[in-house]
Amino acid sequence: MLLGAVLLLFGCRTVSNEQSQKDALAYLDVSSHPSNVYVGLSGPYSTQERMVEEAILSAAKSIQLKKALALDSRLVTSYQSDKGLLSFASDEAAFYDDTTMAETIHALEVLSVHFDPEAGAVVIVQDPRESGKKRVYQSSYNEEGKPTWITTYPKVDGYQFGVGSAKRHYFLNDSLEATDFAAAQNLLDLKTEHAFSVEKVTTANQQMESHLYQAQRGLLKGFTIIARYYDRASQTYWSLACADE
Amino acid sequence: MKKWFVILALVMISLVLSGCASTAKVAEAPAPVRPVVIGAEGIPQPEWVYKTVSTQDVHYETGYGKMSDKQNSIKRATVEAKNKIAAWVSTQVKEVVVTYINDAGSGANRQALDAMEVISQQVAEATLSGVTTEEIWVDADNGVWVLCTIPIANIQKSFEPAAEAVAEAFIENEAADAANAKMKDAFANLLKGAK
Repeated sequence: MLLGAVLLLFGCRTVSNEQSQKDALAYLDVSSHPSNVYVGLSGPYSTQERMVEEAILSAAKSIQLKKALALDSRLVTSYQSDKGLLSFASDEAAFYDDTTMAETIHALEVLSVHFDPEAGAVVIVQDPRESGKKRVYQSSYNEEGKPTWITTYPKVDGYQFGVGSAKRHYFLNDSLEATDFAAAQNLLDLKTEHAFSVEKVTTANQQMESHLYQAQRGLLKGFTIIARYYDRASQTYWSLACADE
Repeated sequence: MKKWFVILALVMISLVLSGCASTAKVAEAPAPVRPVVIGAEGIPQPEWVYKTVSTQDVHYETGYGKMSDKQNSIKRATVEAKNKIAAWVSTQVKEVVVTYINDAGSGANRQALDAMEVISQQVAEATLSGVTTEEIWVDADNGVWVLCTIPIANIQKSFEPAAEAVAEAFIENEAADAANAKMKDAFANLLKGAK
């Protein structure tokens, strides 16, 4: 059924099959569209059909994430007074409801499909079930051409923002997923619904040792990636995420 | 002679005036001005970095982190702030236990002590609800400072299930209701008075 829906959509697509020199991220920028427009990308696959299928799934996933995104993070750290921080390790996870994914895909209207060597298929879709509003934030840039949100969190009433970054992965879609995930976890770090913290401190031979375990959970509503940036010098991708406060 | 007298009088007057002036200067000495510290992002160091913030309804804690990137630094700083909040809650609960035991004169009552152990553990280890990072400041070395808050009401809510557990533990005790009410009051009062 899912495949059928994808093929149906693929049949109705508006293809701009240009292999332009345009930055792959530029295709993903939907900031000029209303809030019910989403973008999905596939990464490279062997066939265009498969790429479109994956891109539509990716766009539908963005819609599901916006409905509800549950986050979980567990962290352990060890500190010794004479050696400083010994370890800082975290295990993070995110969960979303994919049971209505097929329904979401059926409802989508494809606005455009592009193919890019790096991004694979980039599909821009509209969800007619949702009213299209103006985006909550538009990026502004500093003198170096970098978005200001990299250094300063935007402030908009009723919304919270998170920034994530990740080093470049082999495939663009993996880089972006890692960056988006980091932005979601940053939102959890900044506003935690439930946190549990236990610290064990011991002293021996005039040295203090501390072991800390901390777990936190949260449920984000309205999670959306509203801007992205790639810093070529450091080969780092950045995402700005927003969620309802 | 008259000329010398005039000079001497002038010198005396000036000495008297300068004496008064220096006294006045000491009296009006301005308070030392704290140097303005500018952070890596051009933002001056906020007061909350070095001064405790205190309000009636919200508890504040700061945290600091310096890791390989800003997001990880924020993570470490918020972890530290949340741990401080957890430690603060734990301290308050232990204080309630001691206050209650002293107040109720039940130091020898094993049942009361066991019950207090239960509540102490349950509340101190209860999850913190609604910790929010209100402010972030990046210092000149790219170390990140965060100011985190938790509403006092959220901590009191965590106390309620544990208090019920204690009430059950006191079921055989004659003063169960009174003890439970007293303990809840003690906890609420300590939270209000210990910011």
